Amino acid sequence: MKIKVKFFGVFRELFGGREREIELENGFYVRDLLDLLCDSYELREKVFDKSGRLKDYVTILKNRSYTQSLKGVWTELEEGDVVAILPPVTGG
Amino acid sequence: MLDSGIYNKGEMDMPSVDDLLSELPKDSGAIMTFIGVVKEVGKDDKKVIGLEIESYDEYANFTIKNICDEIKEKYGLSLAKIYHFKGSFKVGEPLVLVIVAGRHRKQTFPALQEAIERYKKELAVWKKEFYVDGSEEWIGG
Repeated sequence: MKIKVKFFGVFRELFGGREREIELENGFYVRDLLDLLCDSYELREKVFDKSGRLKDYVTILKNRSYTQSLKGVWTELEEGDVVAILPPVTGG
Repeated sequence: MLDSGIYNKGEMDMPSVDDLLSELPKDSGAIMTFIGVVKEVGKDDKKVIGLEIESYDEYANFTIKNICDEIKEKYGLSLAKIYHFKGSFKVGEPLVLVIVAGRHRKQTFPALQEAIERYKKELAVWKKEFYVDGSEEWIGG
């Protein structure tokens, strides 16, 4: 299945782009996607705490819904999903 | 008056007082505005030369509409608008414009404050500061 991942703010720079299209096997969860994307120590340190949990300030949206209000990192991904990885917001 | 939302810098003109008065619903007795501006002092008191504002437009526009609808209903306002600009900005340039109008000042003062607090906390918008020493930093990241 194909999904789209969007990065904003500091994550756009850390992950090296605004958007990425990724081909995944069926049955992937948000957690699996994050593990796949965080392929360096620097990225893992930004996204996960020392015990491997998603840091509180990282917000993940799936199709504009907070995954925290779905099944958190165990939200299953489906064909055509748009996942957004957001740092804390800082309006003007 | 344009719909509330995220706009590129320069995409809309800042309304004058006459513009606001001409578009004010006739049952309004008070109109209040807030303009968020780039200031020259940034994080850790570092001197700022400019900002970059980035947004997740689809999501931020959806949130702005919700905030305006909810504030308008909660305070019985005749008008509630939020315009957040994105792009590159210099010190002194406007980043945000909030306009609320209602029958009385007693409802519009708290409505304006709540609109400001909510856009600050809820909008999918990010700010990067550029400093005179050549460094730069995403705020909150």
